[in-house]
Amino acid sequence: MSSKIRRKPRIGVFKFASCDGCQLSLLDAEDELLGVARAIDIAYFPEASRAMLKGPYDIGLVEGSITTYHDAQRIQEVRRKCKTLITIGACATAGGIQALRNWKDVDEFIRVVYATPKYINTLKLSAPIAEHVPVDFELRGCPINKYQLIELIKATSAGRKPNVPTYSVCMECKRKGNVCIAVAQGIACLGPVTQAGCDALCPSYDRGCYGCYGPMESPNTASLSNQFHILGRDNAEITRAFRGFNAWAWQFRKAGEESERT
Amino acid sequence: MNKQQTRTIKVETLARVEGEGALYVKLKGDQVQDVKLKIYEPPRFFEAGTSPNFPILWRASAEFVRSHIR
Ligand code: SF4
Ligand code: SF4
Ligand code: SF4
Repeated sequence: MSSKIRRKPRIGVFKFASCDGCQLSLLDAEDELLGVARAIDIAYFPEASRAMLKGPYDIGLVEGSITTYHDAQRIQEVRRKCKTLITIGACATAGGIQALRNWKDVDEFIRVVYATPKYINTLKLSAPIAEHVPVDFELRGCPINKYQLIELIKATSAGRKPNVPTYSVCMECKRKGNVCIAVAQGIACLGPVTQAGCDALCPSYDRGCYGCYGPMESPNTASLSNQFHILGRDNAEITRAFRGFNAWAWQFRKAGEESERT
Repeated sequence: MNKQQTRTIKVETLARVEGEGALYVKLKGDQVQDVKLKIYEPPRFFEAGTSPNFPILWRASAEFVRSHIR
């Protein structure tokens, strides 16, 4: 055994435009959390602890998208303080559900939603973190899977590649022995173009996947759109199918816009 | 406690008040002089989805989800 004691990695958790669901996955990892807590040093996690220790941090977990000028500045500072920067969830990796406004006039939204629009400070687009700073790893999902998060933290601490597959939800669905609901029931399912990680949650309950883990590594969206046509979906419905939590991920964005044009 | 004593309470991070926010309270003796609540959580405009002005994208996502549950 090496006589050198390895220092526990210091972790910071940072929130941008988001719902907190992803960072709470870390707290939700009840049984595993004790083990995780022994292996890491949580230095900054305002949602969980009042101790807010200064950087630098070995691992920065970033939740949420960039939607304000102030946050666009803050993410630069967070990047400088973190050796490894990991984005967690659909908001941080793709702009989130709030990116639906990217196809609309945000000023109109402000007027509809807020009584005093001048108090509201926002950018025109909701953008993923990687559009602002370099990101070392993107963990998908809305919300993320806690087991994938733990695997990612362990792998990063140990300096190895995390075991987070990039194949489609269909792989998990087949592995579970599910009968395909798209084939058997004609339900429009985004499983073939969506990245695995949820253990095919929705199809296991007879619901179509709506793509919350974002595009898989090589999604054939054109073929799936065509299949949706065969199932009797029109172009407007297909556009909407791709406009969910990962609407701004370029593969889904392109697929949605293609159906919109035709 | 001195009746004229002024105290201020500053909480820089409130984790769950419509997202994140900050609170400032100024007291003189036992009288509150000033309270400021700042919500710095960025807006996500979910409410626009309930507005008939924006039926296309916002409602539609939910409709699609409904439409492919049988
Ligand atoms: S990805 Fe989903 S669960 Fe995670 S912060 Fe965004 S909205 Fe919340
Ligand atoms: S139900 Fe959906 S995820 Fe499962 S195999 Fe069929 S298309 Fe793929
Ligand atoms: S099946 Fe699709 S929508 Fe459902 S949890 Fe998995 S990735 Fe998300």
